[in-house]
Amino acid sequence: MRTFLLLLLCLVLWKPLPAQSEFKNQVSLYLGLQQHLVADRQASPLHYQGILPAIGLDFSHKQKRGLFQIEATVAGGAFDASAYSGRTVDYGEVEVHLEGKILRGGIAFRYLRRVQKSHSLRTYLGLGLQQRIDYPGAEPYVGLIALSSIPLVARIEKNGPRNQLLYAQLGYALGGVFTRLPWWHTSIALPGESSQFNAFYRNNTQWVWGTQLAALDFRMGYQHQLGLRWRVGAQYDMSFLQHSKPQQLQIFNQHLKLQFTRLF
Amino acid sequence: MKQYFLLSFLLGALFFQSCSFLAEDQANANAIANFDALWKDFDQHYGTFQVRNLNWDSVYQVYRPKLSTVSGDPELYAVLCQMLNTLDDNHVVLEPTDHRFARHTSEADPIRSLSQDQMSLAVIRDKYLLDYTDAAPEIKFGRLPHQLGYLYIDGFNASLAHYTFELDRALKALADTKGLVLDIRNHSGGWDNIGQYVAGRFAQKPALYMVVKKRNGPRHDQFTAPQEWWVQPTGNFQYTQPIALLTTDFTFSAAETFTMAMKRLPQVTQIGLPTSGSFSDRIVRELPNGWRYSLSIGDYRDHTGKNWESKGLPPDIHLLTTRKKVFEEKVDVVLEKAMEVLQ
Repeated sequence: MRTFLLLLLCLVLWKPLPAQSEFKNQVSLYLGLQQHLVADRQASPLHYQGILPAIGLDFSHKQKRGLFQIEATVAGGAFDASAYSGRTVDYGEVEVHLEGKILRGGIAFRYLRRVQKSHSLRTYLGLGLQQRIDYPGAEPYVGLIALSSIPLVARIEKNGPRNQLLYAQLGYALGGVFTRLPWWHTSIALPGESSQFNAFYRNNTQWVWGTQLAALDFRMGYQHQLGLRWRVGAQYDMSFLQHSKPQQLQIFNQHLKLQFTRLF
Repeated sequence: MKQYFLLSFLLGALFFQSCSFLAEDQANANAIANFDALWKDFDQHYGTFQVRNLNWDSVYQVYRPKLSTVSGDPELYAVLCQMLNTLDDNHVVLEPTDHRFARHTSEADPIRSLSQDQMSLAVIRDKYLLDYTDAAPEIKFGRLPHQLGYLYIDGFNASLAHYTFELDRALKALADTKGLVLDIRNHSGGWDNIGQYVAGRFAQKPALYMVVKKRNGPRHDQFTAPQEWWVQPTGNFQYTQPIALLTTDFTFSAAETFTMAMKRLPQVTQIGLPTSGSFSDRIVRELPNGWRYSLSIGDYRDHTGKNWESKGLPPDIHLLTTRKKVFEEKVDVVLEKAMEVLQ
């Protein structure tokens, strides 16, 4: 009886699997840790930093000559002045901790076209659409931004002899819509506005292109094949954003993540 | 293997050298650097130099020589407090992040302080109200004798939807009253546009109540175009019976712009003390030594063009009570006067 059930189970679960190269889709869950550094002269003379736990989901679909990527990520955690962490203010009867926090979120869509292929190496070039929000929860709102951008993306992939994957990808924003805390903050309360968030977004958003905004992101990673359908990997991401007028804003973020990938 | 080692080394170097990607951190404990940073930031952002008729350059000349590069934090704190007191603006606050120094609010007269001892909600609830509803953290209401209603609001910090819902509930419950005591004596402010909405719940027709300009340039006279604030009927229905609006000098910030709107309504009588005299929006900034401060960025005027910063909106009936009267004798003379006016 037991043998029969085992055979039945094998018949139910068994179906012919395609060769690894025929898997067109992959979905990855990742857990990571970000180092987030900000110099935002419109908010403070001080540098701010945080080490932020992050979680994300990536999906990619491989076509004959192209690659489609969707990514979503969320990170959050303590965020404070690098030189003066753990500050308190004496309110007389109570001491108030100036604990800062930041919440970051991003979503990206990219389509890359394969421009070169050799035995194990593939090179892609394409465009993306990315949305990113960094929201520090408290005044003075150092590093508060929202950016919708169109990056030019280049990617290179190499397969190892046991189907490991090594890759690097570089993106640079050609332009976009950018929101940041202004130097003269005139939109705190406006007549007839029911939402401060909307008032802030509407009044402090601008089109940026060319040298007005530098937004670069780079990643490199390694994925190790585990069986036919699973991979584990590690990826390093780095991004840098700079907007100079009227006062300097620089955001540097680096992210180490562990990926668990399912191929299908 | 060699490539992986090189890669790991590069990643490690990136992590440890990441700060060098940014412009230099301006953290600095030097007293002169911090004094100059604060003075300059006010020079660039502060919105009421003109209405206060204050020459900020001459303030620099008076206070800057009191410090030197060897001055310590106690000297810096003392000089900054003195300098900020010249503004006499309760929205200007210095917050040293050093337990030796207390948070300091700008005041020309150190004896004058905000009066949180002019009323007790517990006394009103226990002695005067026939019923009492704790509708929300910022809103309470109930019924007084002689068919009068009582509505207490002490902040405008929640969302507009919250006020829409809670005011519908309160004003429906008090719809059959002949008059309303609107108590904002403990109101510490919030968002002006919430105040605009709440005032609209008592309005019958539109009226201009405030004109605001905000600093948008380095010169003291550089402002945005004037923004007009109108009070007009809001919500599903309006309460239009006579209203006694109770204020003290603890009635602060957005509570004052709300008072400005309420004073445009013909059925409103303001009773108590003048409001605090701190109307403008404020921003929070930091010094290179990590201390924080806030400053006013706007020029706020009433519908006639008059500015009330530092003066406060004067009541129609001026009435001062004492801590002893309120907390020991448990008598609210201002509320009693309001009930008398409304009867």
